[in-house]
Amino acid sequence: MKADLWGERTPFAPGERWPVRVDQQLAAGVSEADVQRWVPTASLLHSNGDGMDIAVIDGRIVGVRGSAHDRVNRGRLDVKDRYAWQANNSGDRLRTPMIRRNGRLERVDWNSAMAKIVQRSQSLLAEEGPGSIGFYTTGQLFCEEYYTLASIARAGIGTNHLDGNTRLCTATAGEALKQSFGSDGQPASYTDIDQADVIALFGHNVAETQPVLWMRILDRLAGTQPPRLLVVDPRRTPVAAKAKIHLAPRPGTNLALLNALLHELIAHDWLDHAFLDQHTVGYSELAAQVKDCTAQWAAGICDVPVTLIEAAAELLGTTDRLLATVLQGVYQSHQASASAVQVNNLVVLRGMLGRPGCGVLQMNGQPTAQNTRECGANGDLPGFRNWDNPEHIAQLAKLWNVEELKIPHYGPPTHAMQIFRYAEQGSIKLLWISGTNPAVSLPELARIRAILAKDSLFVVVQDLFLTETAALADVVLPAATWGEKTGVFTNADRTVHLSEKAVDPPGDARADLDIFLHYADAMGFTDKDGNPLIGWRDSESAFEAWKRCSAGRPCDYTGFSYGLLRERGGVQWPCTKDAPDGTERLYADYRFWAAPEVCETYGRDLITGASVEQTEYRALNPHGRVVIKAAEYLPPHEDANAEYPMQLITGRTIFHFHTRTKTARAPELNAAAPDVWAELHADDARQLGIGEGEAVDVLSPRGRVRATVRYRDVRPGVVFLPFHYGYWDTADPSGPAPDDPGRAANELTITDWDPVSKQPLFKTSACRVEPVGPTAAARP
Amino acid sequence: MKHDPGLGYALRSVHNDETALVAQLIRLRDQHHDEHEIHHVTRDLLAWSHDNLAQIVQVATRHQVQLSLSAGPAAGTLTPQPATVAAESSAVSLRLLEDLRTTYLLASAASLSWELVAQHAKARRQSDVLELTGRCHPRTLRQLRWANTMLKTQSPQALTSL
Repeated sequence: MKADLWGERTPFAPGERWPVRVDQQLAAGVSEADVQRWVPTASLLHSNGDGMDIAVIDGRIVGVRGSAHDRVNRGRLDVKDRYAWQANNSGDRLRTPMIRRNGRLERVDWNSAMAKIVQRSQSLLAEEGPGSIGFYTTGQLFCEEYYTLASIARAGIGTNHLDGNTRLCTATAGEALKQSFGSDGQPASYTDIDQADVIALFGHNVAETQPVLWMRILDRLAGTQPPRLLVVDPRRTPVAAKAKIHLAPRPGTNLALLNALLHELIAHDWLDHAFLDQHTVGYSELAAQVKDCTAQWAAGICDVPVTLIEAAAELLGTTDRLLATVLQGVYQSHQASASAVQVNNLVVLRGMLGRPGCGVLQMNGQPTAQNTRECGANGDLPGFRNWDNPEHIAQLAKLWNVEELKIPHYGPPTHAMQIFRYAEQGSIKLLWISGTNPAVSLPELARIRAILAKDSLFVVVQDLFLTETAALADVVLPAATWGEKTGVFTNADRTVHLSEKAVDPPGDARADLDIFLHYADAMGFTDKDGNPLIGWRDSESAFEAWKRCSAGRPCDYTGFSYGLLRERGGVQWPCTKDAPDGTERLYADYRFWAAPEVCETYGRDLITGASVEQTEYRALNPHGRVVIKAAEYLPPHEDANAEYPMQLITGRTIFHFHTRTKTARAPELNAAAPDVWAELHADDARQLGIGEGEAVDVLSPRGRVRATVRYRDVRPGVVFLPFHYGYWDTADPSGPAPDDPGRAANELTITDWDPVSKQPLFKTSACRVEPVGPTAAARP
Repeated sequence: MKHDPGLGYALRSVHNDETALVAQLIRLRDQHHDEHEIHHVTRDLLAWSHDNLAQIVQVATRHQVQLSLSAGPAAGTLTPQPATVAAESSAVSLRLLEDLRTTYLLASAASLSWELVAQHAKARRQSDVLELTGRCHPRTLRQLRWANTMLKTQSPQALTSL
């Protein structure tokens, strides 16, 4: 593998177009001349949405190349995309459905597997009602599949319990946008990197989470008039190493730091008063909230030098082109939504919206997380509709031709952590999990395994491989994946790509869409006139149905068609009759989707999560302006203490995606990061008598993980564990026995979530580190 | 002014009500460990209540008001008990609903007492007392709205799965 993971530089200056650099990777022994077909798609192992083509020989995937003319990547590919396609061809793909009989999973045909699910669904509907059925999906299916699943769940079953694992990656991004701008929708565009003067990255290790976007930034840094980077991260990441200013606050103190930055902007009057007067409400509450949040105050809480906080504020306050980005360092940490909203406020106070080189990018973690949000499979209703607005429910009822009461809207759609709680309590009795692996990815795994193994819970798992979760299922359905089916998906800057089928799926594996359509047919879901509820039969007709649902909403897809996407490659929504080329950045006209009639939410209290009522919102924001919301800093719910003196944060490596289901099956990626490690500051490690490369146990009140130590430039007192590693490729795939050390970081993480976005907190647990065996100091 | 029985009445009333609310929040925190959001958020809400109480005591001392030591209505007495005790997990869900309901009612009582404190302070032009209500009353209202939201969010599943 190449030593430089981000490839050669192609420098460019502000206002210039990012040069093309085409990356290509073919299987050993295959040359470009051998390739029979190149099939267009986009990347599926992060949220960046890089346009690419799949190389096919004799019905088999043999490689990939970046699309030269795609707006997102201009030909580039990241290391995961170069290699992970090999997982499609893996010999251990699931090929047939399976049913658990006498404790063992046995192969059956599709009709038997589906009959079993339908029988259980119908008996539950008859005896317990729709609230006994839940769906937990992913950020990796396609738009058409989410919309179909959302239609089935909301209007077929009529359950409120549908969420995605996007709850773990993108829920706070969506929530922060809703709280500030009234509706979800990424304000800025990746092209804003091309012109930004200051790029401020909050908890966003873009070099490893969106490597191609980092290439874009590196190319700006290598060109004339490079941007200056402000990086907030407790680790000295590759991004932090390039920063003009790097702040490494104590985990759990983001909000204190952000409030101090806002305090400084106000104290120095680095404000766009005209913008604040004309387009916002709530400024005075923010000013009052941060009045006492001086740099000195925050320095004490965050353990960051006062002068650095002041310098960071000056950087933010004095530039004329500010782009802010946010990711998991904020979203998965204490006071997640409150902090993400304050990043919006930084941009809003400076009036940095709707112009080239300016704005905010609340990022996603997964390739199709954006679609989970848009289509209503992520704890929202389809088309960014507001569950609390009767008119929005009426729109959906008309679209689906069902009674309004059929669609649950007595509260916000149930979030993932609550779905698992209901399953734990026994009130959810059927949980259908598609394309995700909660037995490794959710917090406090001993608890999650126990829930999934409960006799009272009927678990359906639809996936590519026999994951740790599938191994606990009652029915396993083999799914087709990227390259084996056609559909649309959308990246973090609203760029929509069509991903075409290149090859057939293995064995009897089926597209997720076909599985959902099969279920809808077998269940006999009908509308109020007795016609089939789901009136579409394939991905293109599903896309047309989704377009009708999106019409008139912020994520308006009505100008798209498969034909247009084939011809043009990536195009950004909204795409309509009036904006046939798509929309590069939102809010260029300073018109927001925040008026009471159209907004996606009336908002929540940023500390308690309490819902704001419609009448209150009408009084607060009758004209649909940007809402500036303030919040006070509170100490983390679980902080370092005498028994667990260190802080645990988890995160990803560039070589792996999620629970390694695909990336560990690519030999190059697996070899680059084959097993779990723990990053410690050398001073901490030495004090514990632990040498680099030695094994340690990391313990929390929830469990124990054994890992190899790497000395890294993390904050002293902090332990970093990558979250990718589970058990499917270990001696005991069912996970560690009680009290034995595990391999999954989530053995340790706390069950706690942000009260606003309901995103679990993976970066705010207490832990301690113990040497395994004699320590270096004790050895002769 | 030497004697201000109105202020004494209002401060004692809000002190009693906030004390009762603290007891209820502690109950919520300690009895519902497995309801993780309830447990964790309640700890944050308790910090507000403790601070409210400290501020009431400060103002009361300054105005020579003797605060009562009684803890107000006992937590739980505002909620009727359910007619039947269902299966165990249902009972747990119902207890949560009851505790949220009691929290709401106690927070409402405290909120009304804050109104009395504020109205009296306006009539007497006591700016320090008015500032006290400005700092504390909004937090009580946020606790009340939180209890309402959690009750609305959790009740459909609890009641339809009995």
